[in-house]
Amino acid sequence: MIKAAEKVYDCLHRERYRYALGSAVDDRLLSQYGDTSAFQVSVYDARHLLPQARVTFQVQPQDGSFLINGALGLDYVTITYLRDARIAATRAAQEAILARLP
Amino acid sequence: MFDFAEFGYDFATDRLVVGGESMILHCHHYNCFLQRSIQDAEYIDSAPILVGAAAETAFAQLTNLLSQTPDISARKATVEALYRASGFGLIDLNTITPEGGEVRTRSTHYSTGWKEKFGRSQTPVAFFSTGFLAGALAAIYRLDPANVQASQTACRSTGADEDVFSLSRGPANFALFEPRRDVVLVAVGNDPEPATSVNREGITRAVAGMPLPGNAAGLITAFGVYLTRMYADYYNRISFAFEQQMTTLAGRQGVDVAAKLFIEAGHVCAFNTFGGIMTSAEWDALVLPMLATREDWVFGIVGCVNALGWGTWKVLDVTPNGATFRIYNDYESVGYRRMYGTADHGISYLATGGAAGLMNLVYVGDIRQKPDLTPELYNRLFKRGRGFEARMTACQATGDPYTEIRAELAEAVQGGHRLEGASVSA
Repeated sequence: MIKAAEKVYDCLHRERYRYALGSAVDDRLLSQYGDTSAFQVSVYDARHLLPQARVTFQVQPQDGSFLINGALGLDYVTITYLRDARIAATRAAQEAILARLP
Repeated sequence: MFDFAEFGYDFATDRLVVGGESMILHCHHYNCFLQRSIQDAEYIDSAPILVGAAAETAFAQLTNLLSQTPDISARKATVEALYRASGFGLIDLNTITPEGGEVRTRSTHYSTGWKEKFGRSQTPVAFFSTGFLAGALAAIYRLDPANVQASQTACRSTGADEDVFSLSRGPANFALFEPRRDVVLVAVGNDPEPATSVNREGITRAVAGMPLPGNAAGLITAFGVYLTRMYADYYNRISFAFEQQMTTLAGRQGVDVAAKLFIEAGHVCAFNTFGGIMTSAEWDALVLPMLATREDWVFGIVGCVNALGWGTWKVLDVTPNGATFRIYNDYESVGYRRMYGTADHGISYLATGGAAGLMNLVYVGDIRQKPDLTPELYNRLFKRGRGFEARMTACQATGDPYTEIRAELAEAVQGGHRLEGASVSA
């Protein structure tokens, strides 16, 4: 569930939003992007170095139309959208995924 | 695929050396601002310096990396992969021969970054890529760079569809520099630092190990900017060669002008890269759980800085009114000594601007609230009102055992900008 969507200034002239979510991010979000032919998911776990740290992730489709940055356990994600003709559809699709989360 | 992780980050000196070249992270804001600052001095012919510095570093590194690779196709593939992994963009070297050739691409860090930052340019801007390709041609075919020519004939920053680079044989049309010498790094001192619960070494190791994947265009988008893993000595050469020419033209006044420009570039770097890091989800995930006070934010970002390959930064003291940063083997000092020996004045300009910048972000801009990193905020933090000024109180390039930067809160100068500078002289 999206509690709030805050537009964030982006110096690369993309559109970036910080989405506050109804609950902490967990694996259910990443499972939406499990198709490795369509999405590049990069997960980074540094808890062996920083025990209090959370596992971070980036999700990017092959066409580069958006970039998700977040971490498991945080209650928000940031999504940056490429400005192109499909931006409205891309944004709607990603927001629909977030809306389906608890 | 070229993987920088295979070369291993040296946590004893906080440097990443690849093929004999120190590689450091900087963003397109810094890259483009530094280049424009140099180019704006129209009375200096800067293009040969910008191209020559890139040719110098790329040739040295690639000659080293390709020494065990006899096959030409494999040599070209390594160069293409390194270029892409560094965030410089995309290149296809299949078209080049020992006589040169033409390289066309739709993605170049400087062309893209320049257009994003400054808008459309009147003239080509990808001097770094031009020089890189000159150095690459020479390294791939084992040529003397003094007999290679390179130019950019089209640039996407001007509105063209592609960047086009032309390579040929002939007397070099860029600056050639005296060989750099080996330099001994200093041991990092065991300095007393304020007590903090922030695990700076853990942060450094975590950030240094973080993957920075490039996109399909060979660009690294991270922390809201385009990042590059650039040659430290590219920055050093273009900065110090420019400063030398300014000195030739205007004596000590030339040094002062160059210092102001380069310190300003440090502000730009801090604002965008440090600001981008401290407002990122990665910061919230890795660093934020350890931060209780504003001072902790300074310790936390210094832990990140030490993962950029810039040398080892320490915080000797920090309060809302000032801070002292001691830096061992700052890349500017190391590069200066490699190129020119002992300096007669402080030259750690990026560190000076960076120190003021991070203090402004934490104590004036209240980066904890995740403000938008707009040009308006930049101007408020660095051009108007109260803000931090920094000065070098020691510099390794002058023979000091470390570089030290003191940043202090200063009031606005009536009717003018705040002033900063390099106060160290040998």
